[in-house]
Amino acid sequence: MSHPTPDIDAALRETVSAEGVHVVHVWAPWCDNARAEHAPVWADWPRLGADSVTFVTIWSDGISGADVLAEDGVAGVREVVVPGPKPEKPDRRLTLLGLPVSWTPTTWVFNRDGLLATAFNYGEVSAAQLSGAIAGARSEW
Amino acid sequence: MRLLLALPLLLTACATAQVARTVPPSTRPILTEDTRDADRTAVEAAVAERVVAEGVHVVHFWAPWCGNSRAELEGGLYEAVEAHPDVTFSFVTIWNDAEDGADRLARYGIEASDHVFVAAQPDRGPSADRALRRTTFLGIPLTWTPTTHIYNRGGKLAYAFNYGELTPAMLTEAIANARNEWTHE
Repeated sequence: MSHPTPDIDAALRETVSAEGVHVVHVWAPWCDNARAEHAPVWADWPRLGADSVTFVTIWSDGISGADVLAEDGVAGVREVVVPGPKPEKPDRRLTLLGLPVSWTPTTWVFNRDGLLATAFNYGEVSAAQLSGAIAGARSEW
Repeated sequence: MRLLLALPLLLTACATAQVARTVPPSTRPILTEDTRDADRTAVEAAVAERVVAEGVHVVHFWAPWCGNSRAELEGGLYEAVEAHPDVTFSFVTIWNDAEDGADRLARYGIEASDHVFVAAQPDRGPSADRALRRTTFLGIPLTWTPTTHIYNRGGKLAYAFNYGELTPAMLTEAIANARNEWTHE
């Protein structure tokens, strides 16, 4: 198991602890499932309605996925790159913000000053699912 | 006595104290054999054993005193339970003084069976004392009731619905997505 550098965790913690609803999206540029989400979900990421969206690029030898994002039409999104190689299965998991990552794409929604509201840790999320989760995170219930 | 204990809880939303952010969980354990949580309860151990089995496993956290929990159960959670006999459902009460709420669950059409399990997660003391409530389960944060965690792939977390209320349709979709292989050619 690998762990990200503490400063990345600290930066993400600061982002999601701010008031509002914050999305952290964990992905790898080589991952077909991650790229399959780009056009339907992330190309129009401002429309999702979150107060911030952060892409966390993992398992890519520390190389930014900005080129892939541009190619897939995802523009202007903040990207944080986690250093380290692509591990072999079954060691392909890490911990970010105290949460397990065992699949890409993984998407988390935070509210209440940094608490987890929803974690999509497997498969591919739809724009409707994610928008619903963000709206749900905003509700007082 | 029971009513008196429940009263302060009823007056507040179904969230617990926001302790999670003051305890940076950067190295909190996840569900692997090399990161056993020393503080794991018997209920956590039983659920951990259950969710590593092949298939999809739903772990639902709720409290009988919580209006959001009751609304979710009234919304027809039992339909999703009945529709998925090959999925295990663990109904675990939290912040409820270790009482499992089985009677109330039965009123909502949910009873223990070969794939439905009913249990109570004890706190570190009286549940009315928020500081003593447990706010993780198998390393995943627990800061709201109702909460639903879904596991697949031999005990890996697939989905966590940690806030608000889940509809039977959302749960059914999440179970289907947890089953999907998500292959691309």
